[in-house]
Amino acid sequence: MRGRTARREIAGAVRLLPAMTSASVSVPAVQPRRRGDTGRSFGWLMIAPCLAMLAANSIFPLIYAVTVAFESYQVLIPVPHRFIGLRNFERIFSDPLFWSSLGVTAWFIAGVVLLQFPVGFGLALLLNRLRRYQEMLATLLLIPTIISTSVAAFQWVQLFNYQFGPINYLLGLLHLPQPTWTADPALALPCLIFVDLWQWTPFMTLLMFAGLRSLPSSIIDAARVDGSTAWQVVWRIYLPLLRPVIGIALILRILMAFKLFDIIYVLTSGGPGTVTENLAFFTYVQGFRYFNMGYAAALSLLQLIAVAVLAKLLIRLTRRASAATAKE
Amino acid sequence: MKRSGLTLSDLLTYAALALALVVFLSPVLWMLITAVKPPHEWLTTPPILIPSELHWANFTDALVTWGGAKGLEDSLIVASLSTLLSLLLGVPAAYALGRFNTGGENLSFTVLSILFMPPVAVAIPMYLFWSALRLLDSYTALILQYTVFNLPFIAWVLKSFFEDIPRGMEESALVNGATRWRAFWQIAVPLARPAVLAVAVLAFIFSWNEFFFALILTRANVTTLPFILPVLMEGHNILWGDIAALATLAALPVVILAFALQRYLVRGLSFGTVR
Amino acid sequence: MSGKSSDIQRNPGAVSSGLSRRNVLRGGAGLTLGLTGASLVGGLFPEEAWAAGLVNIEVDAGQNENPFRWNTDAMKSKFGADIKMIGLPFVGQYEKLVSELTARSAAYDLLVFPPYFLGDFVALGFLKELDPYFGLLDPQIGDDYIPVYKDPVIKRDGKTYALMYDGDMLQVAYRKDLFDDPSEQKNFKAKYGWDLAPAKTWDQFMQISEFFTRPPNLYGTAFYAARGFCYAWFVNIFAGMGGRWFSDDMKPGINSEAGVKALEMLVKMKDYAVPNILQVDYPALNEVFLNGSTAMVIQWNDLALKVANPKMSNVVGKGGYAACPVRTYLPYSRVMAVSAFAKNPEDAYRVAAYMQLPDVTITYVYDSNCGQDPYRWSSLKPEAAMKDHTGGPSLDATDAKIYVDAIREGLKAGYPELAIPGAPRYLDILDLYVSQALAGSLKPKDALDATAREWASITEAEDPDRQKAAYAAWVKSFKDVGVSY
Repeated sequence: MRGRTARREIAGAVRLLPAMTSASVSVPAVQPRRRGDTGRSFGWLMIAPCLAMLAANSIFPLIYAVTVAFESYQVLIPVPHRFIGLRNFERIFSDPLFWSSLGVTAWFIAGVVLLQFPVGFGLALLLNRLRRYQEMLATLLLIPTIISTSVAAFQWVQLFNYQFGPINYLLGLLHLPQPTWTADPALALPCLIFVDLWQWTPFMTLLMFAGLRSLPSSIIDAARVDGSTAWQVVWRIYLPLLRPVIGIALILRILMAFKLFDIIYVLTSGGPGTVTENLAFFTYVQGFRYFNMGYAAALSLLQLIAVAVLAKLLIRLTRRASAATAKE
Repeated sequence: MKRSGLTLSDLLTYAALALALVVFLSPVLWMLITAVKPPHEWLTTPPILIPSELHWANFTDALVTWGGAKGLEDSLIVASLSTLLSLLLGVPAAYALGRFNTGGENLSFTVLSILFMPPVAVAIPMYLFWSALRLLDSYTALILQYTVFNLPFIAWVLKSFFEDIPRGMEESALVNGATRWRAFWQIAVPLARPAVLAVAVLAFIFSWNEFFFALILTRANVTTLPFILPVLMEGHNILWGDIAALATLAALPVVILAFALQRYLVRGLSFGTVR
Repeated sequence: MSGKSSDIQRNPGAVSSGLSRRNVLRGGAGLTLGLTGASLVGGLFPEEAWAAGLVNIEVDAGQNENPFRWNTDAMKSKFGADIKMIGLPFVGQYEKLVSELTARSAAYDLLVFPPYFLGDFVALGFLKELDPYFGLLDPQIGDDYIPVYKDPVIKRDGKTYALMYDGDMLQVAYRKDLFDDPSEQKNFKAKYGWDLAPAKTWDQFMQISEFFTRPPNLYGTAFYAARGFCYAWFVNIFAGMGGRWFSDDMKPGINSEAGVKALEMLVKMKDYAVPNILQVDYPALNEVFLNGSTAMVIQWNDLALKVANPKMSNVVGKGGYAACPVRTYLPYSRVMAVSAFAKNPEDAYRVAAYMQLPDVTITYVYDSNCGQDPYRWSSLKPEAAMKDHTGGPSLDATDAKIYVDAIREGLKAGYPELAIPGAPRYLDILDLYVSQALAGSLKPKDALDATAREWASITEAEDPDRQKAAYAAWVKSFKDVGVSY
C-alpha cells in the first residue's frame, strides 16, 4: 500500500535531494528538438532577471572583498589607503584570535555533525513508526526552527539565568550543581551549541523523515522477511538509501553552522573573553566595531573561498554517494 | 505487520517522542507564560509557572511603547514583498534551469553558492553599496537583500521539481501552437503549486526572522521585529515580560503560517524514489 | 493525499481550476501591495525627515531619551522646536554613528554620544563648532561646570564642540545596614584590625569584599565583568595605583607594574562576587545590589537613585555611598553635539543648550527613570537629590547628603577617560584583553602586554606625531583645570 502511494507522490512531489546532488547527472531524457534554438534562448530569457539581480548584489561584494583585502583601508583614519599586498593575510594568520575563532567554528560544525545528525535521524525514525499525526508532530517539533533565531536566543538568556532561570531551579531540586552556564568560560560554548541544536534538529528531523517516507516499502518488507532486526534495517538499508538526503541535510547545516552569528550576538557577544567568538563574529567585530576594513575584507575573502570549496567538495561527495546508491 | 494493542517498542517510541516534545517546546511554553506574567513575577525563585494574573499590559507595552506594532508592520511588508519578488524571479529561473538546463552545471552551482555566502562576509560591502545609493534604512534595501538570499534556494528546489515533471503535457501544448510562455505559465506552474507554496512559506519565514542584515541596514525608518528585541535588553531593567510578549508577537504569525500550510511543508520536502 | 498531477492527468480541465486559485493569489498579492502602497512609497526611498523647527536627536535608546521627552513641551513653547528621538542600540551605537556620518547623512541634527568618540569625530569633521551659536542661547558654562567636565571634555583646540548631558562616574554603593551593624563591625575589627568603613585603599576594598562573601545568600562585591565595559573597572583600579594611559611620548602605559597589579586585583575580585560574574553587565550589576545579594558594588553613580525607588529596589533606605578608593574613573558620560550635516543646526543648538541649563539639568540628574548624572556645581545640592523630575520623592534627606558628598569627593579625584583620536579603538582592544584575563584565557601580564602591542600599532597607523600632539594637548587641558595626572 505504501509503495503505491509513494509512487503516486513521485509525480507531484519535489525532489530536493537528487536535484542538488545529481545536477549534471540528470540530463533530461527527451530534448525537444523541434524548437531547439528558441528553447535555449527562452531559457536564458527566463533566467535573466534572476541572474541580473543576483549578479548586481554579489559582484560588488566580491570585487570589494578582492580589492580591499589587499589594501590598508581603515575607515576612520584619514590616510589614503594603499596597496599592501598580502600583509593583511599575514596578519590574519599570525593572529591568535583568528585561530581561536576557527576553533570555535569547528566546534559548532562538530556539534552539527556528531550530535544533530544522530538525534535528528533518531527522531525521524521514531516519527516514522507512528501511524497517525506524523505531520502534526513534525510541525510542532519544527516550532523552534520557525521562530526567529534572535527570539529563540532571548528565551535562552532567561532560561540560562544563574539565579532565576528554571533550569538551575530544576537542577537545584534534584540537588545537582547549578552551573553559571554562559558566564562560565568552559560552558559558554557548549551552551551556544546546545541552543543551535535545539533550534535546528527538528529541521534535520523533517528532512530525514521526508526521506524515510519516500522509501519504497518493498525493499523494507523484503528485508523484514529476510529476518533482519530493526537495527540491521536501519544500518543496512535506511542509511545507505538515504545517503543523498543525509548529504544534503549535512551540507545545509554545516554551511549554516559556519556562518552562525545571531545566537552569539544575543547570548554572549563572543564572551566570556573570546571563547564563543567564531569566525563570523570575529569578522563582524573587525569590520563593524574596529573598522579595520582591509583586515575584515581579507577575512571575508578567505571565508568566501572556504565556503565555495567546502560546498563543492560536499556536493561532489554526496553525488558520488547517490550514484553508488543508485547502483545498489 | 498489523498488531493490536501496544508493544513495548511502541511505548518507548511514544515516550521518546514525548520527551522530544518537552525538550523542544518547553522554552516556547516558557515564553508564552512569561509574556502574561506581571513584572514582579518575572524573576523569582522558585520560577513561577502559573501567573497570578493575565498581565496583558506586557503586550500593549510591546506593541505601543517599544514599537512592536510598527515592527509587525515592517516585518510583514519586508517579508511578503521579498517573498513575492523572489517567486517572480525565481520560478522562471528554476524552469529555465530545470527544463533547458540553461548554463549547465556551472550556472546551477553558481546560483546555489550564493546561498552559502556567510552574511558577514558581504555585510560591509553591501552596507557601503546601499549607503552609496542612499537606500539605508529603507524597505527597498532589505527587500532586495532578502530576495538575493531567497532566490538561490527557490531556484534550486523548484529546478529539480521542474526536471521531474513529465514533458508530455507541455509538448502537446507546444505542438498545438501554444507559446513556450503559455506552456510554462499555464501548465508547468500549476503543476508545481505544492512545491511553490512550500518554498514560498520557507522564504517568508526566512525573511521574517532575518536578524543580521536588519541590524546593519536599518536604523529608525524600518524596524523589523528581530531588530527591536536587542533594544529591550539594555537599560537599567531587563523587561522580561515585554520581551516575551514581543517575541510571541514575532513568532505567532510564522507559526500559524506553518501550521496552515503544514501539508505543503512536509510534502514539499518529501522525496520520490531514489534513482 | 493524492498529488495534483494525478488529477490533471485524469482531467485536463483541472488546469482551469488552478487558474482561478492562482487568480485569488494574484488578487491577494495585489491587495497587499495596494494597502501598503502609501507607507511603502515613503519607505522605499527615505527622505531624511525634515521640517522647519524639527530637530532629529540621536541618542542611545531607552532611559537616556527620557530627559528630552520630559522637556519637549517646554522647548516647544520657548523656541518652537519639535524634537524627534531616534534611539540607537547601545551596543553598536559607535558603528552606526560613524557609518552614517562618514556618509554625510543628514538624518540627525543633534547627536548624543560619549566623549571618547569626540577625538575621532572632531578630527573627521563630523561636528559643528558651537561657539558661534552661543549668542542664540547662553549655555551658562562659566565656572559652574565641574572642571573635569569642562574644557578637557567639551573643547578641542580651544573650540567648543559639545555640551555636557550626563556626568558619569564610578561610585561605591554599599549596604549601610550591614556596615552599621554592631556585630559585623566587631567581627570585622577582630579579623582585619581596622574599623569597618568605606574603603580608602584598594587593599581595604578587597578585605571588605572578602569579609562579606557568604555564599549563597550574600556576596562581597560585584563589577561589570562582561565584555563591553569591563575595561572601565580595570582602569578604576589602575588609576588608583598611579597608572597613566600613555607616557609623554606615546608609549602605552597600560602594561606597567601598576597595570599588572590592577588587573590581578580585578581577577581576584571575582572570588568575592556572584558565581555568574562573567555575565554581569550594567543591568545585572544594578540587579545584584538592588536585590540585596551583594554587600558592596562599584557602579555608575545613578544606582543610588534606583536604590531609593521601591519599584526597582529591595534595599530601599539601606544604601550608603562613597567615592572609589584613591581615584574615581569617569567612564562613558554623554555629551550633546551638533552634526556638521544637520539640516537645522540652530534649533539643534538651542535644544542642547536648553537641556544643560542649570535650572533644567538639576531636574533630571537625580531621577531614577533616566541615567543622567550631575556635571555642574550648582546641581550638587542635597535638596535637589531628594526630588525627581516631576517633583516626586527621590532620596531621603540623609541619603541625599551622603550621595551628593560622595559625588563631590569623587569628582575632585576624577580620572579622565581617554578621548584622543582613536580612543574607541584603544578602549575596545583593552576591553577585549581584560575580558580574556577575567575569563582565565590569558594571564594578566600577557593580556596587558598584548594590549600594549596593539596600542602601539594603532598609534602607528593613526599617525604617531599627530597622536602625540593630541595626547599632550589633552593632558595639558586636565592639568590646567587642576586634575592630577
